[in-house]
Amino acid sequence: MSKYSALAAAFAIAALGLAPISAAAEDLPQFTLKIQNHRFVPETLTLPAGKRVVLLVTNADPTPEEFESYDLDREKIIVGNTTGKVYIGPLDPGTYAFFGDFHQDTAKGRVIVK
Amino acid sequence: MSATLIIVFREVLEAALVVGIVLAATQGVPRRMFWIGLGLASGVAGAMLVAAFAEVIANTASGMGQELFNAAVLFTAVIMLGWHNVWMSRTGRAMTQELKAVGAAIRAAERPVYALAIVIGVAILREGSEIVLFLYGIAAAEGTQTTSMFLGGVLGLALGVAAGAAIYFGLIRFAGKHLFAITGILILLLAAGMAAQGANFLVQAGYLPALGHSIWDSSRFIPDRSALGNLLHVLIGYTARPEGIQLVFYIATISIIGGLMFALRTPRKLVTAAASLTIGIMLFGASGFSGTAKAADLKVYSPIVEEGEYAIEVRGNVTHDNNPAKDGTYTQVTEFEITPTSYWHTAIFGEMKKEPFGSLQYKATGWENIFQLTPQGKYWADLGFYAEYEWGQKGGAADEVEWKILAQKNVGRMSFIINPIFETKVGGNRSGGVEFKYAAQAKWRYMPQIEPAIELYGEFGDIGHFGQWRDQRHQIGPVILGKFNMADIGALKYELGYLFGVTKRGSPDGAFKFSLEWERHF
Repeated sequence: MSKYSALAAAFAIAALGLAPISAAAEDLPQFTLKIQNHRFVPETLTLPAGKRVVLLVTNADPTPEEFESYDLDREKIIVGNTTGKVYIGPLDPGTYAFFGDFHQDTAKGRVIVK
Repeated sequence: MSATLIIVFREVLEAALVVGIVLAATQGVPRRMFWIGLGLASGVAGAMLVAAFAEVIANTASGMGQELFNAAVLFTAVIMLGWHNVWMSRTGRAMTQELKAVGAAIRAAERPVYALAIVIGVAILREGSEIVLFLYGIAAAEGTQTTSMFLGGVLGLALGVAAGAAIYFGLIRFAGKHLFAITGILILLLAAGMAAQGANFLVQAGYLPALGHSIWDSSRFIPDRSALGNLLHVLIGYTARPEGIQLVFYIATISIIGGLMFALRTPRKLVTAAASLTIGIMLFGASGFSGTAKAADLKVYSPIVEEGEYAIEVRGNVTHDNNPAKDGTYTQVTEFEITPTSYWHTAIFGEMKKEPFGSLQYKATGWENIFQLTPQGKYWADLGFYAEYEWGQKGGAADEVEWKILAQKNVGRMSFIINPIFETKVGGNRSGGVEFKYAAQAKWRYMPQIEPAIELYGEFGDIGHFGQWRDQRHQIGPVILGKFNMADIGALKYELGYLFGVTKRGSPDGAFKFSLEWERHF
């Protein structure tokens, strides 16, 4: 084994080892968000505090969009006419802004955590 | 047009800064333009492919393909950046030893430019695919604005490239003879930031726990969306509200790569390596960590020490349990170790911990010592003594002293270790008496790289009144250990294991433990 592949193997082991920690997350509460005409529907989404949730983002437009949020530290490209899954939280109560990276003028929204 | 300009500029900026730093770091390498050109070209081609197959990628791995792809791309870049830096430190030494210019030139030619070409390739691939998708979307939807969009895109591209050129020429012009020391630090920070970002993608995909949502919040001072925030994000991985896991990856990356660089440098260059390590330690200490939590560090100690060895170790464990009060406890220890004599091993370590409902906190700084009492193999068993002092990091947290007896018996390819442990709190806020704990291991030395073992850990409680069995902590499970020798750059040791809880109330249902250690001899 070369020096480099040993190093890579060690990193891979470390990464793999960490992988399965929270894989069983399918029974988390789900929330849906739609992108239509480069706008979010609804534009305000209320989520529970202190809980991990799944956000299902459906892009009803034919063109790609990127669901992005600095406040939530999330970014995910949703190709036209598909749905993407984003894990969020657990979050503290507050307001978190998000936007569509490809249509920032119109695609704006916020998450209110209560 | 302005929206197009801003988005294209932002994506290009990320890739361009990486390219600028890489160009500066490879100054003077023959044929570097070939490699860098190859990285650029394959990055652009890859970006188009990724954009074309965006839907396919997104649909793999239960809809988490995009996150896994991004994380894989980022970790590839981290390994390549780390590899380049470690190589540079190692050869920096050889270069100063070979005073002949010819020797140095040959050395320079061997530099792993391909590693940095890969970094360029993946940086462009990631950012470029977003640009392609974005432009495709606008072109497909609003045909009337194509010209102004095209103009915005070209302008954004030009500005991004200009920023990359600025950092490149700035470094070349002003860094002078410190050029490689500075690019070394820039690359180290770049790598740490990418590792943290990669970890965030794994959290987003549900593969890693976040370990706390906002460890701190500096969004009022430097918002993520500000120009400065963006720049710092690319250069040092700045995030206004980091998750605990991002800090873990950030610190681990700096510790491992920075530590390797530090250890392999010639004395003349110690200063710069010390600077990079100091950044790590500052981040470690200055991020507002504090805590009192009682940690279960899961490690079995051998009484055998090896003179002249020095090492950096990052280890930790995370629990899971149906009871939320015991679920998701995370303990991490980062150690800097040295063995100056044939019988004495000593180390400084920092311990972090996350409680089930809390976020990751810095718990204690400690000093550990191992004394090997009997020469290896001379008596029926090998014996050692372990003494440790831990400074609690929060007002109200007591200091702790821990003693362990280290006993090891080898039978053929089997090795048995037992550590009886005594722990007591001392100083101002002490409470309780002496606690009795243990750690034990039965290991089959199958081959150096793979040694399967069974490990046991437990805590009976206060000596004199142990309390009920079910309230005590007892854990047992399989662990794999191993060591990879990498010739003159040292050895990498790892441990991976899973420990089942034996008692119902006192133990977590399960705990996953890991350890990664790099060691080397004087």
